[in-house]
Amino acid sequence: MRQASAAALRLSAWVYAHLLRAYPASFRAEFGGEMALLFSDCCRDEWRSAGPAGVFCLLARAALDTLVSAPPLWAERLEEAMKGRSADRGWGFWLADHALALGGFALLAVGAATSWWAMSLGSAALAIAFFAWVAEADGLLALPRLGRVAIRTGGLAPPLSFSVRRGERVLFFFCEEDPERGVWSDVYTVLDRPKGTDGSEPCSALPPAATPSGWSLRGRVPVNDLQFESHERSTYVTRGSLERSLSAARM
Amino acid sequence: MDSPRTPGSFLPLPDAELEILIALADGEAHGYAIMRAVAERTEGRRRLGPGTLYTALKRLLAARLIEEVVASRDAGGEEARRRLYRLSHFGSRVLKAELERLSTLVRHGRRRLHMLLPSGGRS
Repeated sequence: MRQASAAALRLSAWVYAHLLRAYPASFRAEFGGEMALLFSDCCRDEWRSAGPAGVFCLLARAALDTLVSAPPLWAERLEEAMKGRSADRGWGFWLADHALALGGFALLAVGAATSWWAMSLGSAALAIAFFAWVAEADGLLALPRLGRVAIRTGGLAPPLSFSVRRGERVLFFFCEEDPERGVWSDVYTVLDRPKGTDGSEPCSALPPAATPSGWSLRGRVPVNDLQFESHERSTYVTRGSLERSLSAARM
Repeated sequence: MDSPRTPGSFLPLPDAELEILIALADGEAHGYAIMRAVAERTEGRRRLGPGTLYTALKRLLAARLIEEVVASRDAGGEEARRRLYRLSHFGSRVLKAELERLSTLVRHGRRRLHMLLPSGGRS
């Protein structure tokens, strides 16, 4: 009995984890874990009070709840995209997406009068254009913003460490910790290595003398010399501040 | 310039958001506790699903009617993954305004009903 309950709870959690995919990625990132946890709690309650039938009803209610609550969130995402919040992410994407959508409409119009394959192709083009637009608005495509360099961070601004690609090189910026005072330095140590050469990314708590193989010490840059911007779930460093700080990087 | 935030500008509150604010008037709570509180208060007639609950929490957080409580360091395991929410000062003002609006509505409705059915609805 205990095994059956555990299996049913695991299965329902697995189904709900897939249902969660109906929500925009940014919403899932913020609340998905808690929603899954809450659903597991509800499953346990239902199993205790009503057994497998209760869990099945709960799943059905959760599916209906998803159908009702997810569309308004997508509508919000689309509204943000329509307001042009993503317009500065690249005209190339905007033009390609709109051309695809226009092509889709044209094929649909032609297909309505001539053949089914043109209609199918047109529908597919429209669907791709729509989902690409939604994905771009949701930050899933992570297209670079003009004049900025996307960096990977743990959400802190300024981050404790990040890496950027610059021409043929990969640069790794990190703050060193002062173990005695328990504070981070206000200077980034910058390591670099040629792109394509072997060498895993060094860890942020690297002691100054321990430069990993493949990397060389480029210099040090005051944290305040770099300008960071956050947009959606990405953090950017402005290209101008990056170039200025690198040219002034001192050993 | 942003328009000034007055409690009246948030009224009427959607059902789910009103239920959440009432649940949080008792003190800070995480999502599961809010859901249970709503179900208990309505004797099981109103059950907030996870999607409805968290979309409402997201809107309330964005409007700053509620705020997240920083978790205590000694919470571990699943408890550490649960976020606690509490009513903000502004949220309590909005809740008060909404409850006053509803009680006025009920008072007027009863008066009209009394005029229509003086015997209290008994024929």
